[in-house]
Amino acid sequence: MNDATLITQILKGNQHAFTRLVEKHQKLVFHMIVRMIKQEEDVEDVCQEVFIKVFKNLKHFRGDAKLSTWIAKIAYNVGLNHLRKHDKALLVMSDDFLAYNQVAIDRLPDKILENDELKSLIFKEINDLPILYRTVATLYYLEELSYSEIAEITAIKQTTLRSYISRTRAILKQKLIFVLKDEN
Amino acid sequence: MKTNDNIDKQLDAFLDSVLKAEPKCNLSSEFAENVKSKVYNTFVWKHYLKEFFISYAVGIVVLILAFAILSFTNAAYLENIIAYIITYKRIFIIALTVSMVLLFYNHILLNFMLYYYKNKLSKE
Repeated sequence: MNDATLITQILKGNQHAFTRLVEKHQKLVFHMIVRMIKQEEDVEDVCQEVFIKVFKNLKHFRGDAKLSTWIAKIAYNVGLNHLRKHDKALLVMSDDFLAYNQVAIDRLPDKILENDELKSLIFKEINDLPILYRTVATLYYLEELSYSEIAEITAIKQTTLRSYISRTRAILKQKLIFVLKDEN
Repeated sequence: MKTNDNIDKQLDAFLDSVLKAEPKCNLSSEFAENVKSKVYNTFVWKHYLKEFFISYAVGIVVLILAFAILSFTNAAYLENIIAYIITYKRIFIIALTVSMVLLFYNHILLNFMLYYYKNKLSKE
C-alpha cells in the first residue's frame, strides 16, 4: 500500500491502515527521537506522541512533501517541545565543543572497524554533540536524507546544514584521533 | 603534521560505520499496535460523538427551515401542522426519541460493538 492509499484508508477509518503507517515510519521517528532526547525511558512515549499528532493532523497533509518528511518534521517539533519541557539545558548551543586542536596520527591499531570499545566511545561523543548537530547527523547519515529534505524538516538553510555536517565530522575525527593517540 | 591519506580513509570508514549504525535500544515489538489502540480509544470516539451531534443538528436545522418556509408561504397550513403536533404530542415525542436512539445506535453503539468484538477476536 503506498502512502496516498494509506492516508485515504486512514481517513476512511481503516485502523489496519494506521498500524501499517506506524510500522512503515516508526524507525525514522525512533532514530530521530532517540538521538534528540537522552532519557531512554521517555523515547517510546515521545514516539507515541509523534504518531498521535500525525493521526490528528493527517487530514491537513496536502502532499506537497513526502509523507516521511512531513512525519519527520512533526517528530522534530515534538522532540524539541519535549526538551523545552524537560531538559531545556540541552537546547542551549554553546560553541565550546567547536574548539579542538588539530592533531595527526601516523599509525592505526589493527582491525579498527571491528573495535567495539572505540565505537562506543564515538557513540558517546555523538550523544554529547549539541542537539541540532546530532539530529542533522542522524538524518543525513542514518536516514540518508538529502540536504533539501533535512532543510524542510529542521527549517535550517542548506548552507548551514552543510557546515553542521562537515563540522560534526571534523570534530568526531579529531576526538577519534585523540583517543587513538592515547592508546598508542 | 598531516594524517596520511590511507589512515584518513580508514578513519572516515570508521566514522561512517559509527554514524550509520543503528541505536542499541529499540521500540517494543507491539509499538504500532499500542499506538493504534491509544489513538482509536481516544480520538475515534470523539469523532463518532461529533458525527452524531452533527447529524442531529442537521435534522433540527432542516425542520426549522421547513417551518420557516411554510410560515412565509402558507401560514394557515403551518398552524394546522402545529395544532396536529400538539394534539398528538405523545406520538411525536416517542418518534423523536426513537429517531434519536436509532441515530445514537448507528453512530456510537454499533461502532463501539464492532470495535469491541474486533479487539476481542484479535486478542484471542
